[in-house]
This record gives sequence, structure tokens and C-alpha cells, in this order.
Amino acid sequence: MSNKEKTQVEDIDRSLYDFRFEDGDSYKVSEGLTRDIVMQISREKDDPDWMREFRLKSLELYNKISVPKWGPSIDGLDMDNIVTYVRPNTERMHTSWEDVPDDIKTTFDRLGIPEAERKSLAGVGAQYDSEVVYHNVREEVAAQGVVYTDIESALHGEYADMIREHFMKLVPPTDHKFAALHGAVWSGGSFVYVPKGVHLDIPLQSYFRLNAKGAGQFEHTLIIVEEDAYLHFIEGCSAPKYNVANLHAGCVELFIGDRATLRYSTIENWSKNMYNLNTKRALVGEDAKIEWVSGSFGSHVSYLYPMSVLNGRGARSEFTGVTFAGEGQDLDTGTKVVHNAPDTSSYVNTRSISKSGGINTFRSAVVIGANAHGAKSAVSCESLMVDDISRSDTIPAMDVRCADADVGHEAKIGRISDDTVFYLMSRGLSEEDAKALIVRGFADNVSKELPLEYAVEMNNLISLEMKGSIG
Amino acid sequence: MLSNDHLPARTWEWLKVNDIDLKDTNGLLASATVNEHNIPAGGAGETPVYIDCKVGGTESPASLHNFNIEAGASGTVIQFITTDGGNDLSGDFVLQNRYHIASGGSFTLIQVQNLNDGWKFYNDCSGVCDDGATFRRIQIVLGGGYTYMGEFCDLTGEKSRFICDIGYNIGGTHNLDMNYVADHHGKNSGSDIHVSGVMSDHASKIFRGTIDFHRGCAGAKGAEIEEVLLLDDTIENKTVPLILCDEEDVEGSHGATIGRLDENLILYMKSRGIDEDEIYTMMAHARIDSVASLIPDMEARDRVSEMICGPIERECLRK
Repeated sequence: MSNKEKTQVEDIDRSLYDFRFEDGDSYKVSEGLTRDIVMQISREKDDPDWMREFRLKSLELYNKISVPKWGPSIDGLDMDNIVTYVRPNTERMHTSWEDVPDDIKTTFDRLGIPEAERKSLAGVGAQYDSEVVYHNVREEVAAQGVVYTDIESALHGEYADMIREHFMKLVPPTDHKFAALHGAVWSGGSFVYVPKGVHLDIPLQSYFRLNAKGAGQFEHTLIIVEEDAYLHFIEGCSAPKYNVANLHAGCVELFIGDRATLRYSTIENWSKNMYNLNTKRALVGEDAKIEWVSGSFGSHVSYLYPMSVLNGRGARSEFTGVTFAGEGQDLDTGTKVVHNAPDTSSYVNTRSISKSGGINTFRSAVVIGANAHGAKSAVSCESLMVDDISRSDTIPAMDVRCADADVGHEAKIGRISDDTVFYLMSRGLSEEDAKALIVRGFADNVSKELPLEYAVEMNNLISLEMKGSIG
Repeated sequence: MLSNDHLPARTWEWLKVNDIDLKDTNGLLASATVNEHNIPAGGAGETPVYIDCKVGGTESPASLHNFNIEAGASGTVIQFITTDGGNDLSGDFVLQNRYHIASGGSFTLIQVQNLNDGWKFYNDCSGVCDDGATFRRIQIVLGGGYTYMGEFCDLTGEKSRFICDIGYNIGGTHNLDMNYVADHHGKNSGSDIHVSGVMSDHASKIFRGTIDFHRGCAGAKGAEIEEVLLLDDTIENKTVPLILCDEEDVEGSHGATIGRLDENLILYMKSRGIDEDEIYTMMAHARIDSVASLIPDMEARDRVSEMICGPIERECLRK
């Protein structure tokens, strides 16, 4: 029997992300989740009274709400072993890169953050474990009234009322168990405010690094883009790999004013011991637009479904995503869209690649309310199975309650098409080049939506290598 | 016992699509009349067998049919499920069909349901297809207060096939709850599920369709398509088309089109002198007609056309 050579897709080279510094933290709470720990965090953060009460109520909810009955197993996550707050070895947030402690600075240097700031960003925030260690925004951007700071500074400063008005209003702690957990122990994250009519031509970026073993990261990102404004916000995250579970249960709340646009790009590359139980949601005003660009490469288990609530007439949502699940990964990703006003539209375009026993699940929900006359929605998801030990599931749902709507959905699942390889070869490409072209093209929907530097990073992450003949 | 009571892969609870409450059927099934049907090897059932279920009269509240299609045999069964008596009758009725189609056999099950609004109807079907066996199911739903329709087709055999066409036209407060599973185990097995429906008034509907590719079903292909025409803002329409894939060498696809008629079509029809209400009525009938036209028996098609449409459509169906 002849040996069939199959298309090979290499694992992502994680060496860039796997370095770590041991126990440099200056303070951390005990493992587990109790009222005392929540109070400890609240004291550490010098919370106002309302926030302390909010944390305690969230803890009560966390204890009442059960673990989801759907989705990947999270049996390996034991909250009794998770440290929910780790303050790195620095007393405060810095606005000068030189002032950041050496080990932390080295970490972000190796991840290329300062270089990116110099080259292509309007501002940068860097979080290390539970605290933001660096935040800076270009002077000319700040001069336009743009606020980009850590959320705790905002909570204690002139934007305190705005924070209180918006904090966990889009994602209430009642939403699910890990939203409640976030409400109880959140720490760090960014606050962005873009005033009416301001158009930021270059992006802001926050980078989240979880260095501590067995820890959780619970940053909160709150972005308010006022009417007629534009912002591109980039989020990056990574962690070194440990042999115990780490947890990420962040929360992102985006408020987009009438006729404004927010592009929210994420390159997620958590280590393969990470449980990534993140919640992201956008409230979109009249003729406004949210653009989600999402690349999911890391984590042991992911539950990630950015949600768009199209609340104003003519509001739009675009979701473009690619998910790459390799050995030991169970990535459950997708999106939710609620059409809650007339003439709203949504477009979802995703790709997933499963290899080496990795499990991919695309999960979506499109809800068209009774008042969403003229709503339009199109969902397209494609999955590529690279070998016969992996798995790929597609679980979409549509709930339509308005006759005057137009909802389309299409999904495909399969392997690299022999016919396509044959066609490309007939046009002069070698077999290997043909396969490489197909696989690169498969993930192209996301990379072409990113700024060049990030597209290059994503392509490095995918690091596809093709070899052999038709499988 | 009806076991196909959940979505094969659960999703968000708030969507309320994960579970189907079939507990009420257990007691009814205990008193079911059990009917055994056998189509012997080499037998070719050219003439369809009619099984009329007149619900509400002397019929038992549950009816169970076991079909055994021997190797190479083929057969067609047509079930009309209608109310026996006045429109004020109400109750629960369970119809369960189970089949085993041996190698090379084929079995076609046609069901036309036109119960009145007082009835809760549980219509369950499950079976196994061996090598080269084909199960074809054609269903038309025109009534019933609450209707559950389930299917679990175990495509065990190599080159086994499941072909399913469903047409429904529901209005009033009709509630239609569907759960279809094509379970691919056999190499080069195939499934096609095509659902076409019309909803109006306060009707509600859930369509769950699952193509499940298990490891080892290399070369399998599965496709599901749903088209729903919505006539009122008071409807509730849910569609949950799943593809579960544990095998590399397969092709799976699903598509859904939900909403109003295409504007260009309406414009064209209007230009031919047809008003909008009439256009929608015609198109609604056309959805059912397209499924009814698949019924390989003139008498049955006539009965369907009597139920759904006027003389012009009847003439079309006869052609």
C-alpha cells in the first residue's frame, strides 16, 4: 500500500510568547474566591462605595449562577486554585516607557509593543497581570479631547460619573457566571473616550500580558465613541505556558454614538493552559457601525462571542474572524447580533482551521426583533479540517420575528479541495504552491482587514507550511 | 419513548432551542397500537400503501409502525393525518414510525398532516439504513395547534442516503417544532434536507437540522437548506442548522433564506397585473406545491391540492 502524503499545517511557533519572569509580583491575594478576597481587591483598588457594593453583589450572583451546560468542558478550571489579583512589582501606572520596571519592560519589548507605538499607534496601554503598568497617548491625539487611560484612573478622576453610568451596563453581572465573576474581581483595563466628530486615523492599542502562574486576568475595557467619530482599537493578549490552569475573564463594553464607527481588532494568543472566558459587547447607535476583526489562536479553552446590539435605525455590524485550533485546544468562538431597530444590517464572515486534534466550534445567533423592519443579515462560515483526528462543529441560530427582514446563512465544512488543487496546477502552479495558496487564502479574510504590521504578525502566528501531494 | 428530544449539540439557553418536552408522549405510547410491516427481499412496492390516521375518533391516541425493508426491496407508505370529527375536538396524538432498510433497499414515507387547532401532534420517525439503502421522507404540514416532528436517520451503511423534503404552511397560533438528525457513519453516505415553509399570524416554528459526520464516514456529503416566507410581524421563526464534523474527508453545507419575497419578483408580478396579496398567496401555495409535486402518487397529490389550493394550482399539480 502506498503511503499517502497529506497536507501539513505546522503548529504555531509560540517561542516568542513563552518566556516568563518568575514571581516578580509584589502583592497577590490568596487562591480561591471568597467575600474576603473580593473585599481585599476592593481595598487594594481604593474602590468608591458603589463599586465595592457592585463587586459584592456580583460575587453573590457568581455563587448562584450555574456553569453553562453548553460549550467546551471547563472541568479543569478550579476557582479554588486561581489567584484573582496579582499586582506586579510597580507602584503605579507610568506614562514614560523608561519608568516601567525592567522585567516588565523587557517583556513588552520582546513583544514589540514600544516599537509598534512609535511606528503606527496613536496610543498604547500595557497591562501586566492585574494592573495597567503603562499608558500613553500622543499629544496631538489628546489635544483633540481623546481620553485613553486605565479604567481605575478614570474611575477616580473627572470621568468617574461616566464610568459609573456605563460600567457593566451592557454586560450586566447577571448575564452569565463569568460576567458575574468579572464584576466581583475585575482589575485593570482601558477607558477610551472619543469626542463627537473626532476621527482618529491611526489606532490605539492595549496589550494584556498574564505572567503569573495559576492567576486570572479580569481587565475591563470601556470605550465610548461619540457621534460622528471614528476609532480603531487593537487588543492583543498573550501569556507564557504553565502546567496549571490560568483564567482570562475580561469584559469589553463599547458604546458607539450615532453615525460613529468603531473597529475593534483582536489578536488573541493566550497560552494553551488558558481558559479564555471573555465577554465583548457593543451598543450601536443610528447609522453607526461596529467592525469586529478577531483572530483566535491561543488558549486551551475559549468561549468568545462578541455581540452587537444594533439599537439605532441603520446601525451596522461586521464581524470577520479566523480561529485556528491545534493540539489540546477546544475553541468555541463566533458572534451574536441583535437587530433592534429598522434598516439595521449585519454581516458575519468567519473561517476556522482544525488540526492535530484541535476542536473548533463556530457558534452564532442572529436575532431580528419585531421592530427591525427592513433588517438584513448575512452569515457565512467556512471550516477547514486538515486531518482526521480534529473536529469542527457549526452551531448557528437565527431567531426572526419580523416579516420584513432578509436573513441569509451559509456554512461549509470540508477539507482542501482536490479539484481546486488540480485546477491551480493546470494553471502552472506546483502542487505545494497550490496548497499553500489555498490555505493562505482561507485565512485571508481577517489578515486583509488588519493594519499591515498586525497582518504580518498574524501570518507569522499561522505559520503555515505545506508539503506533499494530494491527501 | 421518543428520545430525539434535544439538540444534538446544545447552544445558548436563552434561545430556547435546546430541549423539546416529549414527556407527555410516554404514557400515550404505552397504549399504542403496534403495526408491523414487512417488505420482503426483491419486493418492489410500486403501489403505495395508505395509512390514514383519523385522529379523534376511535383511533388510539398513539400509533406505532415498524417497517422492515428487506435487502433490495422498495416500498412507499403514505400517511394522511387528519381530524376525524368536528373542529372542536382536541387532544394529543403520537405517531411513531420506525424503519430498518437493509442493503440496497429503499423506503419512502410520505406524511400529510392537516389537523385542527385543538391537537398536539407528536410525529416521530427513526431508523437505520444499511449499505446502499435509501430513506426518503416527504412531509407536508398544514395544521395542528402544536406539532412536533422528529427524525433520526442512522446512516450506518456505505452509500446509504437520507433525503427529506418538508413543506409547511402555518398560521393562527400554530406551533411547529422540528428536530431532524442525519447521523453519518457509513462511508460515502449522503443526506439532503430541504425545508420550505410559510408563516403567518401568530405562528411559531423551530427548525433544528443536524448533519452529524462521525469519524470513519469518509466521502460523506450532507446538505440542508431552509427557505421561509414570513407574512406577518407577529410570527416567531427560529432556525438552527447544525453541522457536526469528526471526519476530515466530508462535505457539509447548510443554507437558510428567511424573510419576504424578492422585490424584483414582486415588481415583475405586479407589472403583470397581480396585486401584492395575491402574489404572496400564490407564492405561499407554490412552496407547498413544490413539495407536494414530489409525491409519486396522483391520488395523494390530488388530496393535498384539495387541502391547499384552488383550481389553477390543482391543475398545475396534476401536470
